[in-house]
Amino acid sequence: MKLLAKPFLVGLIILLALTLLVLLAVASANTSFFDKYFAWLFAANVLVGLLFVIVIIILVITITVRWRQKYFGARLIAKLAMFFALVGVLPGAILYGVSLQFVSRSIESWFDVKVEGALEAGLNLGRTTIEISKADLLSKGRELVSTIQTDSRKSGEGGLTILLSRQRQQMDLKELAIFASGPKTIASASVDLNSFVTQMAASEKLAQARSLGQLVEIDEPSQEIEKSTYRIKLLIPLQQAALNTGGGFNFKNQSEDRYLLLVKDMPESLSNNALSVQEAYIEYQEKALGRSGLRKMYIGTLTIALFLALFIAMTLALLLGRQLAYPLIMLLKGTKAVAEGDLSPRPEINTGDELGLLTRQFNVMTKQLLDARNSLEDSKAFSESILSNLTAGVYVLDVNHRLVLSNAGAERIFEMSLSQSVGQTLESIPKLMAFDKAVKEAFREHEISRNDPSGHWQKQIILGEESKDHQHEHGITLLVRGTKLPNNLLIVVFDDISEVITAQRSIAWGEVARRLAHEIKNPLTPIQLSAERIQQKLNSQLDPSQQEFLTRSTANIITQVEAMKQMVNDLGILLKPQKQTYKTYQSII
Amino acid sequence: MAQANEIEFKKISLRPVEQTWVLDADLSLQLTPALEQLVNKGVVLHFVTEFQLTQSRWYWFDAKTIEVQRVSKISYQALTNQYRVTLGSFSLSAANLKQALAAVRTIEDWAVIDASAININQSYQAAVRIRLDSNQLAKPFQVNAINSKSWNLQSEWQRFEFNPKQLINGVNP
Repeated sequence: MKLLAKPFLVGLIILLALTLLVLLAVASANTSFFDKYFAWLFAANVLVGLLFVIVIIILVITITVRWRQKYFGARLIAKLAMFFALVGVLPGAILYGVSLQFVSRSIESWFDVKVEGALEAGLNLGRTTIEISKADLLSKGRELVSTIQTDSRKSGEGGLTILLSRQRQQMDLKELAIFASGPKTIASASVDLNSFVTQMAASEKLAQARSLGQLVEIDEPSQEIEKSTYRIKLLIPLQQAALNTGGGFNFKNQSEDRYLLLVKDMPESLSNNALSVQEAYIEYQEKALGRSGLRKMYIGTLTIALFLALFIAMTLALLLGRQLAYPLIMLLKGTKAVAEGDLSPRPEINTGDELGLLTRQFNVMTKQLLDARNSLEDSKAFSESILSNLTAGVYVLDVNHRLVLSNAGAERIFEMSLSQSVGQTLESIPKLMAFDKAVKEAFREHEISRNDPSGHWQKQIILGEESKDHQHEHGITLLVRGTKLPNNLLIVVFDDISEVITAQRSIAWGEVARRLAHEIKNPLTPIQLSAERIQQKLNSQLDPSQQEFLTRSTANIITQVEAMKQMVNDLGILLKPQKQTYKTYQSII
Repeated sequence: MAQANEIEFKKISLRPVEQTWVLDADLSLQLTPALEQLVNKGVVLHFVTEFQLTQSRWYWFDAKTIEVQRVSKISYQALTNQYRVTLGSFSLSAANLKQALAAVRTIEDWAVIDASAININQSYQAAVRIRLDSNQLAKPFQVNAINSKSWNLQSEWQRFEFNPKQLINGVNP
């Protein structure tokens, strides 16, 4: 993967490899420029091919390992890479297979038995031509030898020269000479000034000629010495005896060996044709011999091209796969993060295509989600603050009467914190056992009666009743209202109405007192009036001593009645009902 | 298996001729069957004979005083059924491959050192080797030569001490 981090480097390597391959391909096509470095070029290409194979193997192993390790996104990249590689490699492989077949077949097809036979025949034709010329020259040479031997008696050295000159013209020879070892030319006739006598007079050649009776040499045409045709050189030793018997000759040394040299050039056109046949033959043979190498060369080039294609395909697949997979992986990570609650925006990818759009849309979505969540949280906080500011207690219970939610009011009423008890049943909390029982009963009753399914029940529950105390300092009276919410949750709202009850009681008591006072007050005025009338009626009939007693007694009654009246009036003022507190409670509920 | 394509120098000597030193050498050289087939089909074989004269220096790499090479070619003439050996500008015909190889094998009077190029009082390291120049072969054969030993023909560097003064004294006592 490190390689992938440097696409530039990869590009450079590919470029280099391509250059090498192109060079190889060009070099294969018979240009002389690369002749010297061909082997190096080939070796370098093979090396590069091997390198590619290694790189491909490493990449494949890396992907496999990541796949196994469940590396995030590895599967996607591997799949994409596989697709791309398949797309790139499959056609390449097909092309490779076809080319391979083609190369193998076509190279074989160049080498045809017929063509080879024809070339061989052409070569043989040339050989035969040369052989015939050689034989012809030999027979003529022998003829000439006998002519010389017969003529030598008649004419001298000068006659010999004339004879040679004539014969040379007749036989169309390049040179005709008689020489003795030394070399010493005795008589010669030649077209130009060049003589082959010195060349042919080497001792081993003369010895060979003596032992075999003749010596034939054929010179190849060659550009270096501007010789354009085959040249046949024939060396025949002249018979010593024949020469020695000739009295006409004046030889300095009678025991001297003499040789006849005939040099003939083949006709140029014939020579050229033969040469071109030879050239073609050699070329054909060379190619036939090198066909295995040629096949290796072509197959090697093809194989390296395949490797290069494979490498490029793989690299591109990985690069493109990564590019394609990157936004998807980003999205995947994004969804993971969203699932975990992280709604922060992801970096957007500006690919300008649908994938980029997708990431942008994803961000838009998460932003909306974030907004929605925020507003939800706000409203939740709002309702929570309302709930906590409510004096009434609120419990939300699930079907099994487990506590789901409680508010501050409930905590205040029961004088205990319930934040740790969320998820527990109310039964399990000692303080709430009686409450739970009552609530359950109320729900059951409500369920049974069910005359109003959407409605709620309301009940007054007195807790801590056991301690029969009129002041109910320990017991509390709750006004409980329960409703079943549509999603199977139970909501219980309750209020501590102990104070309200107390107030109601005091009002009732006041009423009783007021009535009592009224009842007491009612007879007071008649009592007072009766006492005053008694005093008025009896005052005149009584003696003064009794008069005084009466006056005192009635006065006493009146005073006491008056006092009682006052007392009752005062009580009446005191017992006026305090409606204020009750009203507030009512409004809250 | 005796290595058939191993080239060995049997005899090697330097001698002064006028203003130069000439090299005489004789070596065992045999073509591998593959190469023999090649040359019999008319492919030209290029042999390169290289000669080096170095002077050892204790402080650095050896100084190369002289470096020369010569190319000999063997070719088969299919029409005349002859082999032609070319040694530089000089060429000769041989009736068979053995004779042709003999011409390549025998190095005679190869002027390798110009007398003015060396200091007569010093001693030098001389080295000779002969190899088949596979770069001159056709490309398919070159491909073969990369991975096959039978297509490569190369001798080791034959090194010997060259002491001009001793040689002169020895030759002309």
